Amino acid sequence: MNRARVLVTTLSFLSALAVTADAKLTRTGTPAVTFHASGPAGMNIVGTTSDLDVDDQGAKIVIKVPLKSLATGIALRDDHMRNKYLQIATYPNAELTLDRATVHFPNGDTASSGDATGSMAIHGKTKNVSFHYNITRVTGTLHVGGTVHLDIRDYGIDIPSYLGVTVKPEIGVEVQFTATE
Amino acid sequence: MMRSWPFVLSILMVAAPASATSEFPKTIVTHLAITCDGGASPIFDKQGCTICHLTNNGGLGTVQHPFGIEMRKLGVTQFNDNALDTALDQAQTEGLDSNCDGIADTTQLSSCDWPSLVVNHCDGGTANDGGLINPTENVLYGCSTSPVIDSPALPVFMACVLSGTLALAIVRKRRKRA
Amino acid sequence: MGLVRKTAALVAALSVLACLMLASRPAFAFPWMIREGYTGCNTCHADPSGAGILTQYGRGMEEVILRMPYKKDADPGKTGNFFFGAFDLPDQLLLQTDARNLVMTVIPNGSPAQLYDYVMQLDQSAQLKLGRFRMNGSIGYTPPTQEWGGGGALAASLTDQPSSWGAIVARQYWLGLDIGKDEEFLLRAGRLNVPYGIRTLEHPFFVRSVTRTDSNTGQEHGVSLAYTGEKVRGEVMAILGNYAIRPDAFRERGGSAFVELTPSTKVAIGASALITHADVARSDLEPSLSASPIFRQDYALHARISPAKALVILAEVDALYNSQQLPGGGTSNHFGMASLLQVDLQLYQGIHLLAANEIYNGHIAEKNAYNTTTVTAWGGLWWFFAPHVDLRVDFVYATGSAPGSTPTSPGSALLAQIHGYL
Repeated sequence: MNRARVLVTTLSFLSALAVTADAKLTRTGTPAVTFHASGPAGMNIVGTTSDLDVDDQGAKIVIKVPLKSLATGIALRDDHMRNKYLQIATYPNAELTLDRATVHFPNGDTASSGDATGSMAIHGKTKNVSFHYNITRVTGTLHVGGTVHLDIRDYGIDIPSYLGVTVKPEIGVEVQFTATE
Repeated sequence: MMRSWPFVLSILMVAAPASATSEFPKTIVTHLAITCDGGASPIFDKQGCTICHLTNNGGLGTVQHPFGIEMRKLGVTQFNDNALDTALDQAQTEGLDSNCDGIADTTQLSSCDWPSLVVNHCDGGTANDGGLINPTENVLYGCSTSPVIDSPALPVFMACVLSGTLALAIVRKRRKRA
Repeated sequence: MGLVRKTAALVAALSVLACLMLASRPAFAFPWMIREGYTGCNTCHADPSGAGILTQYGRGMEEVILRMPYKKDADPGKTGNFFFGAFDLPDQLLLQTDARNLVMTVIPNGSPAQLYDYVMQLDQSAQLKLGRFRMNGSIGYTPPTQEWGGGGALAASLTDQPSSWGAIVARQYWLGLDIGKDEEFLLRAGRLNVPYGIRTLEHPFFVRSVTRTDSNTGQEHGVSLAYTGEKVRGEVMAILGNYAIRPDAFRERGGSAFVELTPSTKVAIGASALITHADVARSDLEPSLSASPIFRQDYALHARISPAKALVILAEVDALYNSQQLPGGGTSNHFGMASLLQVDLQLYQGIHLLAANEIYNGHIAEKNAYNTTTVTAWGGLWWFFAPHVDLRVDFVYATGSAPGSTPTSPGSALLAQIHGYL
């Protein structure tokens, strides 16, 4: 009897996991993507966009950020960033592709966090990156946050320089979005 | 609209002579009804500002003669003729003796003895200043070894050097382009 | 006469004219640039703590984010460069010529309005940077008398003032050494802006004038070390005295420092301290002081906050103290406060609506006539309407003045300024 119960429970649990794992992520709400760049002696540049798509392909999840609406608050700087450096006409998106198995999704209304790896494609070049994530499930909605550090030189992007001020090539990216399964 | 710009700019840029505190000597003469020397203006004779200021040029931070310092204590401020009138009345009532020579300042002004007030210190003799404070020395402006500009030569020289440098740079650049 | 010669002659004539008609007061310093995410100063200014000669990048930003744009997202090209880009300067050299003029109508309560004209600034500034070494300085001219729109900038005089033909003034001159991997430290020696509080263009603000830390003539000779990081910036200075005044007894010696934290790109919070000693107090600036030794201490907290891009709030509150006993019945030392609250509303890029409130009371602990509060209210409109030129109109109501500021009676004033630079 006990063995049967254990078996049923185990099967049910595994089944639930499988369902969870197979459930497709659908982005909801308004996402927030922010990058932080710095220049010489304390110069800070913050760029933001609320464009983000989640493409759940089952075993892989692709997080895509269209770059056309990425803005830093200064129109001319945005123009330089999009067209001169990111060249969005040719490379419109930044994409992080990750294996679903590398991320731990919380069960029930709990939270999980950890470090994982994925491949980042920007400016026509792809490179493996490590990122940190945290996911909180609240009444069925996943609140996802992640950070990643990039070196724009890895993606063949020229180091931005304007009137004698050169931006450092290392940037930090923060992503926040909500999704349902 | 654009045509009006030169007019507006010219109004803003041109240094028009001012007319406020520079009238204080005249106000003193009027207020104290000073009529010595047959009615000639006893103070407004191109040195009147030195009653209060270090030199007749006046200027902020140069009210350092005892009478000027006392006038400030009695409420005299820039641009305000009314405050000067009130302060003069008070000085007259109290017998203010800023130069400490035993004679009231307003008496000296009224008797055209204003040069007696043009002193650096309260050292005129018997003081009846009631504890009024005078600086031990005046604050002077400019590097200690620097000259007074006694002629327009230096500012004009600087303007010419600046103008010449800019003009030369432009000429050289244009020649280089050509 | 060829075009080249005509141009040169025109330039020369204009420069001479400008030199003869204009002269001395402060320089740039826009602490409200935090609205654009610029929390620090040294990307746009050679002085790491702000004000004064612009860097190449600062000149570009003047055109890109400060001036009213007449064409969307236009790249200014060389418009912002020295002399409108008429000639290229080497990267090591910064040059800047500033001219500022003020027309002011003063209306003391109960007295007739009076019109004044002040030549506020005619300065030529320069910086030469060779490797990590810098030479920086400004030199200007101020007309001789108030009647000719001059008579100011006394405490920055190189030549003796007052004089019959004006004076040569030099607000800043220093030698500097950039230190650190990103040149985040700057060690300087010379005549420097005193690191204290919000560095602002409005030098008459009580928080600047009472503490004698304005960017007009408040500079002191000394040695300073500045640091600018991503989240923290600050500067500490050993004050050796202002050698543009004499005798030596009046020179204040001591130190000052400020630190500013930037928890976000739109918020900056800072603290400052200044302690100086002089053998003789400046009773000419504050009549309640006696001509005897004085320790002066000022402490400030300030904040710069931009809750929305259009809006910037600047606030500073200062505690003031000096070691002299009050004369004539005072029960304590001079202990007072000064405060500033300024709001900058950018109506459209290049058009700013300004409002400010100031409070000063130099003797808040007293229970006598010394305990008097002075309040001012400012309102202004600032229009950066063309490359290198801005126009500003202010209305000020004041219930009085404060030591070190222009001594004025209760009343109002209407000010119109035009500033141009090459």
